Amino acid sequence: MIIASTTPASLTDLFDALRLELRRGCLVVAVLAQLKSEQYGYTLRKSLSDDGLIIDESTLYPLLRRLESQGLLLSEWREENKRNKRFYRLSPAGAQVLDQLLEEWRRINASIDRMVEPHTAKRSAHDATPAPTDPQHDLAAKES
Amino acid sequence: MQLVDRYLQEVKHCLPAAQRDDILKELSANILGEMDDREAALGRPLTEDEQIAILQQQGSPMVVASRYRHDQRTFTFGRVIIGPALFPLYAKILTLNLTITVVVSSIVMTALGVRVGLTALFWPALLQFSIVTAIFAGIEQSQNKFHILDRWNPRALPPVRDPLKISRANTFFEMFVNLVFVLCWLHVPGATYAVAYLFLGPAVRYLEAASADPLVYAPAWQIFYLPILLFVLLSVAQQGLNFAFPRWTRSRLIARVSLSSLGLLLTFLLFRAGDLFLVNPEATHATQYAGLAVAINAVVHYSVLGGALITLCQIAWQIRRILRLTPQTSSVAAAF
Repeated sequence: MIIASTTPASLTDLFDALRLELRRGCLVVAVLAQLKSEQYGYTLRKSLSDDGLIIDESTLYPLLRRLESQGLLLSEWREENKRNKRFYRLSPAGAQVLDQLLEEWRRINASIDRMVEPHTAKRSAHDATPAPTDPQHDLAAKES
Repeated sequence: MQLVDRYLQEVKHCLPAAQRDDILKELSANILGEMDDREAALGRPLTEDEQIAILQQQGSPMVVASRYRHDQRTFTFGRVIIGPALFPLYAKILTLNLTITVVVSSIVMTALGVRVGLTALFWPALLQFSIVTAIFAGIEQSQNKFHILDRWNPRALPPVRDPLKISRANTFFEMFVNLVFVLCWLHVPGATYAVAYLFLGPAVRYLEAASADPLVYAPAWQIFYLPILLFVLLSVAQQGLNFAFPRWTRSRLIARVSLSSLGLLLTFLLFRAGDLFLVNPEATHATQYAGLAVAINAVVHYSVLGGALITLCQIAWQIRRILRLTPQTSSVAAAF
């Protein structure tokens, strides 16, 4: 049996590290999804942030280049508001991969929901006072 | 947008050379796009503090550059000793240190008559490796604990360097050294003594007291005397021009390449000339100086070779500058 001493600080560090791992894959999906319409680095970061997904510039900009080098994005330099900007959009291969990733994500999400929800339901049932008066629940109880 | 230029200049140093220009162009567009957006929202130009806030949000130049590298190499020994942000700088400094150590050790060993081999070079190289690794491991630890790389100040970024500007201090120093050389070369009374005193201090009196110099110049110097004098005088003339007008132009860079090529030719001929110093047969105990002559000739031989390599690098660098110097090139664009 391993006994680990967990101080609040080490728990925070651990949470940060796990959160980072969890976010890493999700960010790729989010970026690909957002680039169905063409955008350049800054506006993409802003739109992700507006949708509740805050991402550092130093993470996003290199990620865009990596996804492009993997063939999932296409880019083009174009002038906008008197400045040359590099606009990215989803490539056909990227669109295909995005569909597959979304399918996988939904599957994982559904599995986790199934694992977490009964537990949550049990706990909320235990905590709740008085017991919920669900007509269907009462009916089922009577029937049993 | 001086601050942005200063920031990009720092990022540039740590970026992979192949993608450097493209990354900087894109990063610049993103930062300036964000600033434009903020200005439009505020309806006024950004203050310096607001620009600094945007730059700080991007991350420290070293960290930003490290994210663009694909390799993400680390130095790991059980656990990560040097992380991906510091590793490229560590690798660069370690390579430089080891190269200098191997070259200098080889020259010293050859001059002392010690056989140059892997075993002899192992300990100095290991010492350099240990010192550099310990310093970088310390920085990495500090970064993990205190996040020193995140606590950077955009105001402290160095000013944008103009790649076409010639440093007057460097030019003055080069000119001074060359003029002293000319004085010694022409045997101006007192000049050689002053230089010898600078290196040897009061011990120079022992040289004076000697009945005859233990070594004399080889006859080959008679061929090289005037060309070397001419070469140094031409260098002084160009340095004088650089001091008066401290900015590179295409024609001056071409003149510099021509002069460096002449220097390369001279060093090549000197390298092929064989022994440049001989034992003075008139010196007392002349036979004892044979070893000294061998050592000095070896040092001169390798110094000439080193000088030729340095000159070759300088020529390559100057040619690269000429090729990058288009008539429309602005200083900042040339820097990036």
